[in-house]
Amino acid sequence: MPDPSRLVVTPSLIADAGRQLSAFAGTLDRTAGHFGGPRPAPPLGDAGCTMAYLRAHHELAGLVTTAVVQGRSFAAALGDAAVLYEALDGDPRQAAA
Amino acid sequence: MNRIGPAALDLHLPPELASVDPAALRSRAVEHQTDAGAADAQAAALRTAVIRLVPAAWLGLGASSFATGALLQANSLAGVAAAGRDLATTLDALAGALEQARADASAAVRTGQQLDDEVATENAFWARRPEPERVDPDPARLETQAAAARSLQARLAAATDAARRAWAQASAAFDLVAYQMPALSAAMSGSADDGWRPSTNLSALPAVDWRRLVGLSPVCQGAGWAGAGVLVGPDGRHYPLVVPWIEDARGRWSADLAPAEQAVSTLGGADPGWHEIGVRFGIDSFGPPAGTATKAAIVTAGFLGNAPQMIGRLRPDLLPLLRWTTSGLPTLSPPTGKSAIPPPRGGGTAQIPRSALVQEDDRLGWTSDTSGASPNRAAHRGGSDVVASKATPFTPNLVGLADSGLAGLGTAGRLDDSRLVAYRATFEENADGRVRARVVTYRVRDGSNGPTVLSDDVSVTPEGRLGRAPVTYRTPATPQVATVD
Repeated sequence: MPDPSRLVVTPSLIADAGRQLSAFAGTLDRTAGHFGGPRPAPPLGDAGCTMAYLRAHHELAGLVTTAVVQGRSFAAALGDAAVLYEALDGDPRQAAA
Repeated sequence: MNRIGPAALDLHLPPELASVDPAALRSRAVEHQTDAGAADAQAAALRTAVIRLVPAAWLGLGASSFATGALLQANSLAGVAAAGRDLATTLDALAGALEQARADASAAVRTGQQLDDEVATENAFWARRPEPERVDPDPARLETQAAAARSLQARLAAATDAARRAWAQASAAFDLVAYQMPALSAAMSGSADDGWRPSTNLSALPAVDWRRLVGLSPVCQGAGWAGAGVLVGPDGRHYPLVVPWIEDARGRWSADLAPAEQAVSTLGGADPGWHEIGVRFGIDSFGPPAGTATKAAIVTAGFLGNAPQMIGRLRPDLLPLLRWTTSGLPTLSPPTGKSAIPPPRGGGTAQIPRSALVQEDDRLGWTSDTSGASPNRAAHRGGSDVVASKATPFTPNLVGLADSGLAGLGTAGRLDDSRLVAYRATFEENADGRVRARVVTYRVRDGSNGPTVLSDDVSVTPEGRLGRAPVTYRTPATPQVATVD
């Protein structure tokens, strides 16, 4: 049974998760690029259909922007948490030994 | 000189079909698919991180807030991925349908031009021949050319129609993506604090225009669409007000009491493909307020002793207690505190306490409520036709008249109660691009059997009058149980 006052997970694991998510956030940046600013619809041929596509694209852009910003701050928060936990707790592997 | 053969077809590819670029559509579809993949990968990474980190119990609070945040973010990303995939699938399908339509249309146009050239050549040849030697054209050949011309016109029209259908279906699919996104979803189904109310967004529509928006019913008998008028939604679009109905041996129904496979809303399954894109609930006032003259007449009648009584009593104060099931069935939630529903009072419409002067032995006495029939206040008369338990006022009964006047005042004051209603406005879009709305209003009435909910469909006649028709709920059919002797 681990000591409840100590961390069981290594802060490096948290930092790893943060780094991994940061990398994915970079991948999502390409997606964000597709939704950044007004972008013409492909030649759909029909005015009503083009309007519907642009509206869907515009609404989706809102969600993409939110998700990208949140993802980035989430990854950063994880990195910060890893540093904080390391400072607070030391190295749990040493403590376990 | 007269032209022989069919008139020149002069077929052209419709400009909107000519402007389509299926390759560009497919390229954009690939882009959306790639974006969806990226969002999916990040959502999966987040979920994996939660699984790896949370069970390791790194300070409880941190773990739980990480899990909550991560899962919310994962859900957002899953939403992005699903929307991206839907856009990609729709664009791909549209590209395929338009490519086919354009190929068909182009073939018809090409063949039409060949036929035009052929007829023109024959005309020129025929015109060059000297009049006496000119033989009449072959009627069979002329008929073949005319049939070919009709067929080519029909092919071009069919291809154009196919393209229109493809555009309508793609528009509906794009709309579904848009209306699932948080901003538009909140606008359509959010609270009424944006000031949108159905009563201020209803308008009349000529019957022809309503029919054009609604389309042709797929069922000829025993089911169809009622309704009239149009509702402007919170998104600014115009939705025709439609009330589907269906008939069976038990009657005519406009809604289902329980979810049904062959629902009334789909005309028993004959009109599938409807998706709800928004629902608004709230309290609103419908119809014009009672006029001052009407109220004055009722009060005057009351002071003359003829106060009209309302059948049952509408309880606008109970409207906030209304709740709806997912299928839109209204229920009254259990009341709390001041809004508690009082036990129903007996006496049908005579629920207002009536005061009167009554004779007690040799004295006149006043009772505030003659319906209570207390023995000491009952009139003792020799006549056998007077019920002993009923207090009988002397005449002239000035207090009674005053009371009647007050009752008239109360009735006049409650005239506008029927205007205040709860409403449920639903907005739907079909996969084929049709849209429709339905506004049902709800009033709560106290009756001898307790409070009941009155549900009415709202429509606006082409003349601009507000129409209300009771919703008729279809109960599930009782299963037929075969008995074995």
